[in-house]
Formats: sequence, structure tokens, C-alpha cells
Amino acid sequence: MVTFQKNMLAFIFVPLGVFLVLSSFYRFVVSRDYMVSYEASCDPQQHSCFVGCEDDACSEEYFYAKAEKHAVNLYAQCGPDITDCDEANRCLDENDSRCSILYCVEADGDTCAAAMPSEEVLGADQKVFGPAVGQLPSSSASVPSEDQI
Amino acid sequence: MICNLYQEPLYLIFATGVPDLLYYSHLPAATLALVTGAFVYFNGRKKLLNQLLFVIAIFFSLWTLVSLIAWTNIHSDFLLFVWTFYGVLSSFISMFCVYLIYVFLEGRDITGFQKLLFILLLTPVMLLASTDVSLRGFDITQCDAFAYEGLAFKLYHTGLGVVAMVWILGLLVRKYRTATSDFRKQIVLMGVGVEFFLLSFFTMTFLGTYLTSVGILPDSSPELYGLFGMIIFMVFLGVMIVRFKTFNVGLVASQALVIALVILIGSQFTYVRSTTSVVLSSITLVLTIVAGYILVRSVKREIEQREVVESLAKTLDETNGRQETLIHFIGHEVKGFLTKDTGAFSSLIGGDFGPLPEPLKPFVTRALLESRGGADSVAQILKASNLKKGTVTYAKEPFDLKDLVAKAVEKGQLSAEQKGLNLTFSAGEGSYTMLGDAPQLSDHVLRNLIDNAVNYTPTGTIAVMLKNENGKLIFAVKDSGVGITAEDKKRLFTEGGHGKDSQKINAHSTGYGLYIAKNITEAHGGTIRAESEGEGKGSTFIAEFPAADAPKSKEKPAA
Repeated sequence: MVTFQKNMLAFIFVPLGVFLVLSSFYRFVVSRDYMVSYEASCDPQQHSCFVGCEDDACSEEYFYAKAEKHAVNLYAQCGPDITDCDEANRCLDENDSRCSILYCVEADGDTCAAAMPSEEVLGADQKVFGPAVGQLPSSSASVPSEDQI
Repeated sequence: MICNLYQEPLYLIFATGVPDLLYYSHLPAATLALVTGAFVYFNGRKKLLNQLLFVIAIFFSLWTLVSLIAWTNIHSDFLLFVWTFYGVLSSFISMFCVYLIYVFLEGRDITGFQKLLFILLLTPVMLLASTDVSLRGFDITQCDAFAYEGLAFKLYHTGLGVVAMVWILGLLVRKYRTATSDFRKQIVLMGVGVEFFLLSFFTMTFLGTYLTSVGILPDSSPELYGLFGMIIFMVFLGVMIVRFKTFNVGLVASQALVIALVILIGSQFTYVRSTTSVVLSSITLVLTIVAGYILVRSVKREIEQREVVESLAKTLDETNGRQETLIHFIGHEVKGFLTKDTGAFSSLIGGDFGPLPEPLKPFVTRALLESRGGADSVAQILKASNLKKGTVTYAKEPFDLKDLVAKAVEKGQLSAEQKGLNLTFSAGEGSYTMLGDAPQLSDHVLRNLIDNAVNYTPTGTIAVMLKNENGKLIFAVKDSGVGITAEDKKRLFTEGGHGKDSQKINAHSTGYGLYIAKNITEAHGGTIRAESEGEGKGSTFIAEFPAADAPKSKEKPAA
């Protein structure tokens, strides 16, 4: 005979397991309620970019900024693949909560691109890509989107 | 979101560009666990121990599936959904290992309080697994979520693994102290297996993933080595199944183990790349299949034979018991008839029914002797049977062994003289007081050895000797008789053990005399042995007893 005392673990954990599967599925697959980090494209003429290598021997370099967005927003902007998606490289004014773009700061020990941005370019793009290097209070340059503010 | 680190996997888990060791570490371990767990479960579904092993195997296999999906998949939504179960499954593995060990050691289910404790420990993991506490996001560049795992959550479920190891160790040590030697071996096998599994699984998984999340390692490949602990655990379980019949599985386990071994070697194909390696792995696989087939056949035969032998032994035990009862019944009946006959013949010879006609006297006298001999033989068989059953009781009183031996020699003189033998008795100086049952010692040890010497000595001398050597009373009967062959010596003191030609010399020998003498001597804390240089060279029977004033530690008093 099935009694609660004898099958206590099953009585508790089976419903909890079902709850876990459903809640996890709803959060990650249906709602896409999670953050996504990736390497956004970065122009070393305008910003202090991180430097990455295309291969182990580092025969070819590329420049990037560290980007983080809410998955549901990024999916709405770019679809499932962010490759070649311009919206992924900047925080948008609307519907882009919890977005941040992080630039390289040499003082933190990061390897940054050699070229520095000009004054003119910095002023023009500041809203989208964040303040110029040297104006940031913290270790890395991070800028939230406007609706987050 | 998709990451472009790998190609889209085939059947959820098969992708290119992943570490070579990935499939070799995951697939055999999961298969071995599942095969063993399933075999155990389907051979004893109602046994809690079997159910628990199967549950652990399922949890572990799910964990490896989650791990494979996490390694090969490129869709962040699905990957994070699956990632949620990492901590949950590892927590359940650790707690159910504790559960398994408890049931294995105690042979019963855990208490309601212990179940409540498991619920309290596991519920937070289940409730928080799909929240930010456990997992916050996904790194498309690395195609993983290590950087977004909550450290507190990770420490909690890894901590449960540590708690499980300590808990299990405590249970094992506590039980080991009071266990039988056979069960101790099982405890060691089970304990080492499960502890090694938990240690390798939790240590390597935690180190691999934590060091990756903080950027020290490029990927969590060290965790792959942690899974081999499960293979070791399953091998240990296999040994227990075959050798100790743990889980009551029987024959199928050996077959399951060989199948698992073939899977293990077959899995090498998932990571070997060079042609030489493929050829060598193929040869190894073929050889393993052939050797495995032979092994299964021989193990199967051996186990079947063992089961037959065990069944026969059980039947034999029962038959022996019934035979014992029957012998007792017949013995008592026959002894009753013989005693009545002896009484009747004695009365006839004694003239209770008037003078016996002269021609009848030799026949009646002979009949009296034979019925007495018959009664003695039956009494001897009954005595041996009682000794075997342990129903013989002994008095524990002081007596003088020297007097007892002198009387036994005196009683043997008549038969010795009738055969023309010279029976002598010599005793050394000192005290010969000992504790025990004088009548039983006299009838079944002293007289038995003297009578044997008379019976098995056609001509010559019999010397009975007694001496006190440092508190040890040594009684010896040396004859110049037929002697004992090396082959006969092995059977001398066994139940019903005759010498090869002994019945040719003594037709009335039951084979129980020396067996009884040995039992009674040992019950008095003594020893008995026979010495002979071979056939026709005479023999010496020596019985040693502790003197009453001998040191206590050496004394083994009569029961």
C-alpha cells in the first residue's frame, strides 16, 4: 500500500521536479529571461577596444567590446544569430533594458588596441557606446541603456 | 541565441570540435551505470537497495546527458534549460548515495526523520535551480554559462557532495566495527567504490567548472576525468554482485559486466583518430568479445555449479538430520532388544531357570558375549551421535588419573592374557589429579585405547605409560601390533573412520571408538594423537590432559 510516510521523498520531489522543469522551461525557452554576453564589434579609432586573436598563433587580431544584453531584447533585435547584427553592437534607446557595453581599460591590465579615438568621434557616439576612456569612474567602461537609467 | 563555436550537434549530443575525451568519459560511464543499475533492478524490483542503485544510475546518466548537451549544443535557450539540472542532479546523486549506503549497511529503509532531513537539504536546490541564484545568463563567445553560475548555489550543491562523503564514511566505520568478517569485505568494497566515485565526481566537476568560470582554464575538460569514478564504483559493485551475491542478482550480473566491458572498449572509437589506433582498438574489441564470451560461459558454469553445490549441501544437511533421528530411533530399539537378550542369556547361564544342559552351555555363553558386544557397538554409535549433536554432558570432579589407568589396565589384562600378550603399566612420580568425568574418560578413552592395542596386536607387548610433565598428564599406550599406514592415520579420529584393513582384524569395529575418544579428550581440555612408523611396526596412542593444578590459562575444562 502506498503511504505518505513510506513514499515521502517521491511525494515531495516528483511535484517539485515537475515544477522545476516547467519553471525552467518557461524562463529560459519561453520568456528568454536571462542575460547574454558576447563580443561586440569595436572600432579602435573611436573606442578603447579589447584585442582578440583569430588563431592560437595570433597571426591575425580583431577588436571587440564586451557586450551584455537581456536575451529577450537581443532576440527581438537580431533573431537567434547575432552575427552581422548591428543592433547587437550598441545599446538601443528603447526596449533594451539591462544592456551594457564594456570597453577596454589598460589600467586594469587588459590588452587594449593601440590607437586612441579622436575627440570629435567620441562626442558624437557617446550616447550609444558610452563615455570615452579616461572619463569612467570604475575600472572598466560600462554604459547602461537609457531606459535602464 | 546561438553560438558559433561548434556545428549544430547531431541527435542533441554528437558534435565535432569537442574534446576527444568527451564521449569516452561520458558514454561508457553512463552506459555501465545504467546497465548495472537496470540488471540489478529488474532482478529484484521489490528490494529497496536495488531500487536505490537504479535511481542513482538514472540520476548519473541524466547528469552525463546534461553534460553532453551542455558541451555540444549551440542554442542558448535550450542549453540554459538543461544547465538548470546540473546542480539538482548532482545533489540527488550525493544524497541518494547516502541513502543507498544506509540501506546496504542496515538492511532497512531510513527513518521518517532522515527522509525529512533529505527533503530539507534538497528542496532549496530544487526551488532555486531555475532562478538567478543558480543561473543568470549565457556567454555566446564561450558557448557556456559558467560565468553566470551563482557561486553560493554551486558551493551548496558541491557542499552536499562533501557532506555525503563524510556521512557515508561515518556510517561505514560505525558498521565495520561490529560486522562479520564476510560483511566487512563487502563494506570495504562498497565504501571504497562509493567514496572514490563521489570524490572524483565532485572534486573534478567543481574544480573544472569553477576554474573555468574565473578564467583560469579555457574549458571545463578536467571534469571529464571525474566521471571515471563511476566506472570504478560499478566494477566494485560487480565484484560484490558476483562474489557476495549483494543485491541478489545471481547469474546475469556477470553477463552485464562483460557487456559493459565491451561497451567500455568499444567507446575508444569515439576518440581514436589515427588508423593505427583504430586497428589496435578493433583487435582489442574482438579479443575482448571472444574472451568475454568464454568468461561469461565459465563464470555462468561456476555460479551454476556453486548454486547446485549449495542446494545439495542444504539437502544433505536436512537428510543428515533425518538420518540422525532415524539412527537414534533404531539404535535405541536395537539396544533395548540386545540388553533384554543379554539379560536372558545371563539368567540362563546363572541357572535362574534351572540347570542348563551341558551341550547348550557353549552356545549360550557365546550368545551372551555377542549380544554384549552388539549392545556395546550400538551404545558407541549412539554416543558418537550425541557427541556430534552436542547433547553429551560431563561431570567436573577431581579424580586420580593414575588410579583410573591402573583399573583400566587391570580390566584389559584378561583379554590380553587370552591372546598371549604382555600388558604392562608404568607411571612416573608426581600428582595425577585432574578435573573431569572419570567414568566417561575411563570407558571411552583409556579402555578404548588399551582394548584397541589388544585387538590390533597379534603377538608381542603392550606398554601403558603415564607421566606428569610440567602439569601435563601424558597417557600413552605403545604396542608392537599391526601399526598404522600414513593413509589410515588421516582417517583415525574421524566419525566412522576405519583403517583400510582394520575390519579384517577386528570384525566388530564400528569406526566410532577413536572419534568418541577424541571428542571426550578435547572436552577435558586435552589432545590425542597416534604415532606409528608404518605397517607392521607397532603404534603409540598418546592422550594429554591438563592436571588439576595446571595453570588456568592452559585449562579448557570439561563442558
